[in-house]
Parts: sequence; structure tokens; C-alpha cells
Amino acid sequence: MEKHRPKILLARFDLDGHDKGIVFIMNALRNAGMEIVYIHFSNSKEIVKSAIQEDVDLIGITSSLGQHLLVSSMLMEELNNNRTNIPVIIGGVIPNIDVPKLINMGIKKVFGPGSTPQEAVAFASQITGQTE
Amino acid sequence: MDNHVMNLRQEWEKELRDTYEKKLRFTLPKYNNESGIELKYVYDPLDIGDISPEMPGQYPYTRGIRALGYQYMPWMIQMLHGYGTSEETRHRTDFLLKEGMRGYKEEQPVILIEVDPPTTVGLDPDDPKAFGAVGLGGPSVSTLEDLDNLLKGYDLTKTRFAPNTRFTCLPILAMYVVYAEQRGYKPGELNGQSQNDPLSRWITTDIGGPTPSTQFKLRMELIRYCSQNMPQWNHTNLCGYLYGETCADPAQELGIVMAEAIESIEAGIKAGLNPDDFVSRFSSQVHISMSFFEEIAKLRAWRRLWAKTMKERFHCQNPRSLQYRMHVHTGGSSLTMEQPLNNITRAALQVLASVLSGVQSLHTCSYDEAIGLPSEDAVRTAIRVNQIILHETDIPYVSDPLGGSYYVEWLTNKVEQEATKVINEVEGRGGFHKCVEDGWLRRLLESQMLKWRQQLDSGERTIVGLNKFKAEEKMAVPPFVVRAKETAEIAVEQVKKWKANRNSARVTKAIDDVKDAMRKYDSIEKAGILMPALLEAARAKCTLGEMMGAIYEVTGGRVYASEYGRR
Repeated sequence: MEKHRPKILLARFDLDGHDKGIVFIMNALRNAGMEIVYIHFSNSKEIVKSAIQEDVDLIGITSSLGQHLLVSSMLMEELNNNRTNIPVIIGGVIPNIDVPKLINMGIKKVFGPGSTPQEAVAFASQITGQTE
Repeated sequence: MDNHVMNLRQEWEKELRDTYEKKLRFTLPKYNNESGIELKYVYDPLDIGDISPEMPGQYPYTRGIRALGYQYMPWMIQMLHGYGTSEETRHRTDFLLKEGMRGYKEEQPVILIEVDPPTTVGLDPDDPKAFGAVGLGGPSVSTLEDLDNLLKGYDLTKTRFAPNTRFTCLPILAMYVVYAEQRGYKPGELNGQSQNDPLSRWITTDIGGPTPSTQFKLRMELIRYCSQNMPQWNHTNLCGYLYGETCADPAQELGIVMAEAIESIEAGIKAGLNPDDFVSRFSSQVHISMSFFEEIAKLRAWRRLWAKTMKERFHCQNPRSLQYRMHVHTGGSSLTMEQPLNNITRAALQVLASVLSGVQSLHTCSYDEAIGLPSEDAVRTAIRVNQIILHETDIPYVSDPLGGSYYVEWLTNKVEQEATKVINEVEGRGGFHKCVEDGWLRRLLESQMLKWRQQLDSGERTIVGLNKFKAEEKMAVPPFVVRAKETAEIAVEQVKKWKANRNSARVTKAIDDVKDAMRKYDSIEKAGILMPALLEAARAKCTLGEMMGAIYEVTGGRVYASEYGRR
């Protein structure tokens, strides 16, 4: 049977100007053969709507403004409201001390400063069932 | 003499071959610096045969823009700061001033503040679009009251006020002029700077704002107003920093900024100005990386290239137009979260490179900035880096201490040549503005970013603590936390109160006048038409969001999204 090509939605929130990380991740995931949908200037409603419409396997968000706890909780709430359990990962300027809080909210994995794109690719492959 | 040097050089080369390559079987390494310039292992007088003698304060100012450097005036210790509410930011300002943040003189407060993202695009804190971002990265500044919270008690003739407000510099300046007017100051007495370089922010951060042509008009309006009314105000901060942070190499940074400056000056001429009326009031925010000597060469080449361009291309007569004053911001992207104290060493090397190059001003990053905004302890240490170099070492005693170094002089020439190629390329493609709009510049920066990433991942590039010399034990510094929710509530409350206490008929009239002026401002030649309406709006207590809202309404689109972000 042919393998399903993972489809990933990458999103950046309104007014967060930091996009270097997401450029790295986008490039690495594409090189690993994954399909990327990238939206920016988005809020949690738009992200969830696009994720459902595009039928993605994973949502990756970035946050470097210090708003990670707020936007993550809003995104998880929006996913719940839509009765969908698409997994979510987050990257950006996120202090270690906030990682457990994000995991508690249901975020699958946090990629803080110093993380590599390879780590994100490995995790995305695993969670979308691409690892043998 | 040349023959003698040539003989010495050949002898040295022979030694490399005989001893190192043949006897020791050593494979000679190849070094290219960040700008791709291939380096030799050593330089000699033959490498700099073409440099002409020059002293500091003499054209083309490679060695410094003044005859005396730090012997007469130390560099400014300016710390970009801001978080939470305007009151909290004021608290931080006072703390930094107490610790040694200052202008050229001790009694000169410098208030270089970052504002929150909604303020940079022109959204009041009570605007639903601002939700979640109020007070992050800086305070919300939307009313004269916010300005008063930041500035009350300071003598505005001595204070250097520089708010980093991206797309909203023109209305913010109108608000500042009116705020100062209410405290009894005239515009001509004020000093500080507007960022007024929105396209560089637009392309490197991809936050939407007004359309590029509107940004350009706002920018020229500000330059025109300042050149006629605020002679001490730096109207434009040319920002190479953001290019450096998005992995442009030093020669690219210089080339892109020069291309942008050239285009702005040409536009200023179109708006009816003489270059000598405004060229001397460009300020800068220059990036600095860990490529120590290359950065020194860049800073020296920068002054020379600026001087030559202003003299030869724009025929400036005023010496000040030829003297480029430099503010360096140490590289935030050089910092690591791992082993955070290593960041103090990185900042110190970058400050040292800047000081050896004779810059006028520095912002020094704090060791905890890889995880967020700096704590008081971290930012104090960043100030101390400057004070140690200034007061404990012999570094400030001699100007341009590296001048005459075969290597540094050769490299200065090389970086200047490489940067000139970049200027020619940008101009050949239709100029800076065109290169931003058609995505060429963004693609260049993205390919640089990916190259950097690839070098890091492959181990070709070493970052200590990150991909080499990792520590088993994780040492973490506590993150500085902004009380985001409370901050937003306070800001919303304040702006609502402000709006309830004013003459609404006057507000409506003032906003209509802004729209009307913006409509009539259909070409750069009409610059001068908008600022009077904005000043009147500020006097009528209009908020920043209302003024920018009027501009957005007339020019189409609000928080305009750039095309390159849509893929």
C-alpha cells in the first residue's frame, strides 16, 4: 500500500514578527517529503478552520513574543470546540519552565530555543505514522 | 622597499611549503569569512599599497568621523527596553539610567524604547485585532497619557527619545510634538529619533502594515517635517540590524542599507528637499555578528562608502552629511539558551569590535535574551560590559587603534568592494523598493537563513554549547515574565477612559481632516500636507489607532499582508 504523504499546517499568529524558525522548519519538513500549508496573520479560529478544511495530520505553531501560553490555550480550546484532535506542536522563544504547562494543555511537543529542524522532522514523522 | 617585502613574503611562503606541507604533512586550511571573502594567513605592506593616508575626522572618515574619538566623548550606552504597561517601562527606564544607560554625557537620558506589536501597526489596545499582543515586547503607546507615563519629569531638551514604532512613526511623532508642546517645548528643541524605516521591518518580520507605497509617503512626510521643524531630530534610522539577524552577511547588510539610503535621498529630492537639508540626520542601527575582524572592516567601510556616496553622488557640501554616525546593536541571534552566561562573552566581543571601530552608540544584548526579555540583573551586566571596556582598559585612549593594520585595511577595502557589488545589484534590479516588493530581497535573505541553518546542522559552523561543547547539566536562568493579562486589562481601561474624556465632535473633525489630507497626498511631491492634520488630531486627543485607522481607510487595507508570506 502506498504511504500517505503527511500534510502539515504551519501557522504564525497575528503580530508576531519572528519567522526565522518557521522558515527552517518549513524547509526541513518539505525536504523530508511532507506537504506544507503555511498561513500567517492568523488567529486560533482561522488556524483550526484551515486545518479542518485542508485535512492536515499535524498543526505546527510558532511563538516568539511571549504569548505562547495564551495562544496555545486558545488554539486547544478551538480544537475542542470543533471536536477534532489534530495533534499540535509549538516552537519559538519558549522558556523551559513553561513546557509542562503547554504539555498539560495537550500540546504534543515543544521545540524551544536550541531545537533543531531534524528533531521536528523526526517527531512529525513519528506522530503522522511515517516511522517504520 | 617593495622588492624587499616581496622577498620576505616569498621566504615565508617557502616556509609554509617546506616545513608545514612537506615536512609536517599539514593540509593548509581554507578560510572564507561570512561575506565569502577568501582570507590569506597573513597580510603585509603589499596588500595595502593602494590606501591613501587619512586621519580621524578627515574625509572619507574611514578612521572616524571626528578628530577626537572616545578621548572627547564616550559612546552612548543606549539600551533598547520596554515591557508591560507604560508605567512598568518607565520603571525600567529609571533603573537603566541609574545603572549607567546614558547619552554622550552623564546627564543625558536616552530613552530608546520598544513598543508592543499593536502600537507598531497602529492598533489601540482595545481593538480586537490587538488581543493577545498588548504589552508584549514593549508597552502600548496610543495616547498622550502613555507618553506622559514614559516621560514625565524628564527635561525634554536633554532627553533623547527614540521609540521603535515601525509603521506608525509619523503619528507617534505628531503625538510627541504635541505632548512636548503641552509641556512648553518647541519642536526645534527636541532630540531623539524616529525609526521611519518601515520597509526593512516589513521584509524581515513579515508583519503587515500599510501598503508599501503608503509607507513610503508616510516616511517622506516625516523626513520633510523634521528637516524643516526639528533640526536635532534623527528622522530615519537605517536598520541593517534586521538584515544581519536574518543572516545577511556583513557586506550584504552594508550594501542593502546603502541602496535603501540612496533611494530615500532621491525621494527626498523629489519631495523638494536639498540633500544637505536632511542627509546628516539619518541615524543607524547596525548589526554585529561574531565575525570579529570582518565586522570591524564593515564598520570602517561603512563610514567611507557613506562619505563617498554623499559627496560624489549627491554632491553634499555640509561635512555633517558625509559623517555617518553609527549605533550598533549586538546580535540577538548570536545568543544561545544553552549555557546562558556564555552570552556575556559573545556580547563583550561584539562591543569590543564596535568600540575598536569607533562607533557612536551601542545597545548590548543581555545574557538571558534567548528565552525572552531581559531581567534587571542581566541587563545590568550588559551595561557593565560597556563600562568595563570604557573604564578598566586602555581601549578608549587611542582612536582607530587598528588603522594601518595590513589585514584590517585590506579587509576594509574588500568589504567595501563586496558591498558595492550588492548596491549595484539592487540598483540594477530597479532599486530597494522594487526588490522588496517583488520578493527578490526576501528570497535572498531566506537563502542566507537556510545556508546558516545547514552549516549549523552539518557542524561546519560551530556555536559553543549549541552544537559543540554541550553541557550535561542544564543551567537555566529564570525567564523574565510579563504579566500579559493584567497589562492588557490596564491598557484597555486607560484608553477607554481617555476616549471618554474628550470632545467627540473635535475628534471626528480631526480624523476627517487626516483622511482628507491623506487623500490629497497622492504623490511624493505633495509631501507636507499630512503632518499638520496629524498634529491637530493629536491636539484633539485622537488615539494612535484612530489616526492610523484614518490612513488605512483611505489607502486601502488595514494590516496589509505581504505577498511573500502567502505560499
